[in-house]
Amino acid sequence: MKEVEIAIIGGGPGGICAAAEAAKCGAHVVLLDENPGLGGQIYRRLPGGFAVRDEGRLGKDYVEGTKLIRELEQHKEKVEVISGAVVWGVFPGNEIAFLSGDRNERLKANRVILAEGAYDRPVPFPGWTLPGVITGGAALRMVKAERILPGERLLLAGTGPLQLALGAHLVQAGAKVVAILEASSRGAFWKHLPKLLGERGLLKEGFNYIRELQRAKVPVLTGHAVVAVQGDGEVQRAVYARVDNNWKTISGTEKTVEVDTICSGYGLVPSTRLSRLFGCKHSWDRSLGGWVSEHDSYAETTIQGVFTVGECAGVRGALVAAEEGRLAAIRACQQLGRLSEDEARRKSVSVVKRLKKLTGFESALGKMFAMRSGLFAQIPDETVICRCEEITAGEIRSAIAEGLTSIDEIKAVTHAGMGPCQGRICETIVSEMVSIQTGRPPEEVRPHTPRPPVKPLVLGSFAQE
Amino acid sequence: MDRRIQNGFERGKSFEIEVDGTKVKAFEGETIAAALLAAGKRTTCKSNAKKEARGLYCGMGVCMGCRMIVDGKPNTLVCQTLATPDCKVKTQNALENWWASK
Amino acid sequence: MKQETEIVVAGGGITGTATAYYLAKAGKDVVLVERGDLTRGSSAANAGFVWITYRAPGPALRLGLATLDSYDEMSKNHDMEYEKCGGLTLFETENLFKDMAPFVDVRKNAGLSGLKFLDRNGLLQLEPHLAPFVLGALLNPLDGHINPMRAVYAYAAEARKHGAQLHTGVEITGINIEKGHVKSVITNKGEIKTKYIVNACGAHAPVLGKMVGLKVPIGFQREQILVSEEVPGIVGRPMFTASYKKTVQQGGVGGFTTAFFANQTKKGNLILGGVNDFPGEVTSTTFEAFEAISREAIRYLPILKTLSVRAIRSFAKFYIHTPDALPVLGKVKGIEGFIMASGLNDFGMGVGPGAGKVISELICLGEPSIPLDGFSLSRFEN
Repeated sequence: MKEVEIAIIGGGPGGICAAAEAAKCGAHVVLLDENPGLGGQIYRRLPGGFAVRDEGRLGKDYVEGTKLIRELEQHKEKVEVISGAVVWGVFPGNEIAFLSGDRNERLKANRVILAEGAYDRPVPFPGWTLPGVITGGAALRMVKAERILPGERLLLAGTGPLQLALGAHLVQAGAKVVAILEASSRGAFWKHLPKLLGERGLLKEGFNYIRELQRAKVPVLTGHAVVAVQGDGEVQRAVYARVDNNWKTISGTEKTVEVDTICSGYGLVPSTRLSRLFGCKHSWDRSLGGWVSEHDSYAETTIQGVFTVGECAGVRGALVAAEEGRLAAIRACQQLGRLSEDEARRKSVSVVKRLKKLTGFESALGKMFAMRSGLFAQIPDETVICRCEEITAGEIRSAIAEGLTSIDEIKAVTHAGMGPCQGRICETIVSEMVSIQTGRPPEEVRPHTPRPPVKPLVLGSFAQE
Repeated sequence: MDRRIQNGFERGKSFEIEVDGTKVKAFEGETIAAALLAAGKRTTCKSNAKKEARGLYCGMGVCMGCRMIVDGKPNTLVCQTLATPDCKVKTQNALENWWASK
Repeated sequence: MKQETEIVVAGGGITGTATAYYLAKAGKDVVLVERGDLTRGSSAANAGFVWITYRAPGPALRLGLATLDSYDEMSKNHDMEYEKCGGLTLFETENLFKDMAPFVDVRKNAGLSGLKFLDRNGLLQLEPHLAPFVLGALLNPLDGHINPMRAVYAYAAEARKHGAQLHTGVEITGINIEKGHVKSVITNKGEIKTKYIVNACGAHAPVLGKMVGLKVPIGFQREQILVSEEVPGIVGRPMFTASYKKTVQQGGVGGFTTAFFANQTKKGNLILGGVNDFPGEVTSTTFEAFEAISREAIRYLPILKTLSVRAIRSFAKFYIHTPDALPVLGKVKGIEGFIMASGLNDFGMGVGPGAGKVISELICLGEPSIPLDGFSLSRFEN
């Protein structure tokens, strides 16, 4: 089995910076990434084969991504990047098993840096399984990276400034955005928006987005959410309404609008399947996106030698991910004897300083746009919650009513979370539902205990003897 | 219908893929999901239990929703699979049309 | 939680919940306590085989048959995904047809009259995807499969309906015995006065035994199993290689052994096994097991490779095994009111409810309908 000093899982900003920094310290690194190219979701590249004429027109994120990837490329001899590597298991001794195409591979790492990222928070409503309902992340990927309009008449529903960016990209590309529904109340949203964008260094771009949306006469409806989506086999129209402070529909305010696509963007859920497999201790924090791996100020988890950086350690944005990646790499290199304590300290001073500033701000952002339970309380019984096994809200509610309160128990009885996505989609929803129905705070709803394979494992991927 | 956006870059080589027997245009480096969306095709499969139409949702290989039969392989996630010249793509009908796939 | 009851059942697996159900149904005052959630032990990590072919004629087989009756009865009100679809023992050599003949004869006379040999053609009609090296099989139409977790919850729900109290998150920390009689159990949530305690703790039966000075010789055998995504019908009924038992018993020497079995749930998930070893009380799964099970599954069912079928779950089940591979059921010498109901070995889902029923008879009537002498704890003395 191949042995490496540091294995980094995830090729977004956190993983890229961890790899570059570790290589600078002299360590040999393998970077495993699921996608065909580096960048993660936020810095996703244009498809290979596309030629870029003017990078600036692709946006600030694209340029930032290019910068980080170029930095990494300077350390080619120290860093092996394995793209298309789907990690499905970790085993004692930091053995990491992954699929590379249809072939199984395994490596053993002295130190592991997890940069698993995050995914769009699933929010169910009647009709959310219809083709044409996509996440904000999927829409951004299509319009920014694949350069394809996901639809012609779109309704954006969710919360947070990312919706404005998506709306502007869509409008620029020629789509009709019928409206942007922002669940937060008017005051909170518009008052804090310039500050939020400013602190992110996105002020100019942010105002451009708003100007773009205004020019296209796209209404931004604060205090609104999508109630239901309808259509014969695919999305044809949406019903939306005003919501109260808890994001519960105010009945009587429903309106119907003809659209072909809904982009659902309610923030992100940290990906913690691998940190849970490693046995790291997790704690719950709504402003960070839910369950996250506990870690010290060097991003080291409760399992020695295992680090967690970026969105998987709490949703705080790409800039935090990048700095955290560097910090984890410095610490790992020190532990490996690649850096003395002094060198490590010197190297980390400026990183820590930048990180401190960023995290303070990002956590305020997280609090402002944190989910409210009203959306989950009003899901009709017949709506599917577990998309894989097609288990409805009603089935889950009866299981809870029978006294089942942990994700694993509910899974055992209802099958919710037993399908190929392995609970990634329904876990957070079921957890909210338990919390609502039992009155327990979400941190007391025991999450799922994952086992390998955490991604589908092709049986034929092992060489036949 | 072609929903491809044209500005700031040039696409690579174009070729055709076969989707349920019909030719669909794709470009080098595009995922199958992107090529389908560009052509306005959104339903990738029928769900196993309720036989309801499903398509792209998360767009990043998490939800496992955009399943199709690609070159005989069922349950292929088209959002994570690059289009290749002449690849044969079939709408997956729950567990029903797997056998005829080879 | 009640402070006084007639019977405390310890353990929220299939045996415990079934025992509580039969006792409550008979009008008894029952409290079931489980230290974790219901169905967290062997009943959770369980392939769900309801397999009685290998039970020795006599009380063991009768417990199996009583279990089938119990499932039939329970299925009237609960969807436990129970199917009496028959089970196959696969033959890879011609000799097995001859070698198995006496085994089959004694069972045919003891309640398994439907046992039947199938040649390659007969087998292919039932299971067209089996590789050519599988030459035939033994079919038992009474074998089948069940969703173990749903089964446990079904018995739990019925037990509650009949007045039993079930408490999870309650751990027994001590048992008070006075003058040779059970008086009460101490838990982390308080004391419960009781006349009886039923030890249905499965893997933890020795812990409870130790509290009253009993040595319960239960060991752990780990079996690792893979579960596939939903696929069209590939396997029609549970099937084991005939070499399963022999292979598994060699498992202690030098690592692990691999012996093929397969099943498909109603929803379409394949259950594939199995790799066995004896690592102690460990429920983790290993890379080596994934590799071995995958290879073996593809060797027996080459279609899995053609369709690029994928595993989405794995689990390690415990076989709680005793030195003679038989369960430990019934009263215990010297401690009035302490009842054993553990150590099911590979009987598992094929015996739990039957055991629950006879334990209930033992308590309610003093005399079980199936003699339990052969399963007493005292057989391990010396």
